[in-house]
Amino acid sequence: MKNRNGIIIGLLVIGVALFIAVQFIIIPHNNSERNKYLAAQQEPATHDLNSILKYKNKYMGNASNDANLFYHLPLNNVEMNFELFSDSLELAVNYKDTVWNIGDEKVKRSLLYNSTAAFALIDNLKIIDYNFSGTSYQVKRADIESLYSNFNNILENENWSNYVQSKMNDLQYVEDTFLRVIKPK
Amino acid sequence: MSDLRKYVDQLFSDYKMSRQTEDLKAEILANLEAKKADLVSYGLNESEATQKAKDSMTSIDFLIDGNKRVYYNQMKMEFGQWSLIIIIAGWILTIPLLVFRIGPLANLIMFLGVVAVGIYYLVFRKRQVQDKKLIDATRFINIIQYKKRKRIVWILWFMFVVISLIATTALQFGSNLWFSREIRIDGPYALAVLLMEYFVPMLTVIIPIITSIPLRLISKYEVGESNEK
Repeated sequence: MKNRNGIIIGLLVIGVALFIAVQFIIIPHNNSERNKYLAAQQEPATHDLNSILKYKNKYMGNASNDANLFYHLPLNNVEMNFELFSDSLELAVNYKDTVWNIGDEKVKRSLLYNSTAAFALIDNLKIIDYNFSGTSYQVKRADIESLYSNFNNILENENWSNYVQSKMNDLQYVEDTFLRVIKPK
Repeated sequence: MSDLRKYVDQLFSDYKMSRQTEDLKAEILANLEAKKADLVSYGLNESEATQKAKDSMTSIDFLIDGNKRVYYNQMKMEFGQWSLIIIIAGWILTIPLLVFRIGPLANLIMFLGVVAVGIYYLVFRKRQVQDKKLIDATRFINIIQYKKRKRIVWILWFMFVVISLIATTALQFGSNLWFSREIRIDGPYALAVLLMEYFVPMLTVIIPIITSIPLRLISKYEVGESNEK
């Protein structure tokens, strides 16, 4: 009888210690890491390519795949919806906010990055329209492809890091490239 | 209704009537009436004979099939301890799942179970320590009823597990199966999370395990056997 009481007390001590460790050390640590990761996903330079590779698809007509891709790219914190124009192989991403609110530089960086990702991952996508409240842009596959000599291998980690992400911190490059490839509608 | 019949009805009032208990009841009544008739033939008056016949049979518990006389409070105390050990173990198993945001409800239920069973055990134990007579109190319990209860609980648990396995599979893979899409598990973390989703309903196994404990304790605490004091 006393042995069993000892087992009960021992188990309670283990349970309480484990509960405190999980609730007050491990979970807060994980939450902080998760928040850091989520914040990094908002910036093209630190975005995790591996989180979007699963959305590689031959056809832009797969609406859920298109939506999931954009929900895992920068600007995913802005409310959005999508329109597909299958005849012209065109995808419209409608952001429910103004460029002013989001930030001009952030929008330019993100649209360049998101367009590169979308054209690299969705094989038959030809045109993307980005519609913000009051402003619209259009980008074509050929223009994005022309930015990279190795576009067919751009999804390799090293290429992505060297040729896409590293340039996102260069404000002049972003400004010039944006003007060259992303046209106001 | 005769006095003896009423008395016999009263003796059986704690038992559900079955064909077996009806037969036993009829047999006891016949024996008591025969005894009364004998006593009357020896010269006792009607009421004295009835009283003597009643006194010769004060309980029928030991005649019921499967009934065992046990040190009930001692048995209950050990049952409380084992229940508490099992439910604490269940609670501990659910704690690491919280890291993966799985089973917070299971964890809460287990924790409340630990608190409830713990309080019950402490109150019960205190009462036993305060009144030593309670420790040696005995009572009849029916082993057949306990076996039946154990079987029913295990069957219900088994059905619950089958249903929960089907429900978890439908939730996890339903759309893949419906649209004939390939099932993808993205790495060891996703596999671990998936396995944990299947594991949580299995924790309910503590219910049939706890229900099975008394059967093991009956022989240990049966009066006349070697008992733990």
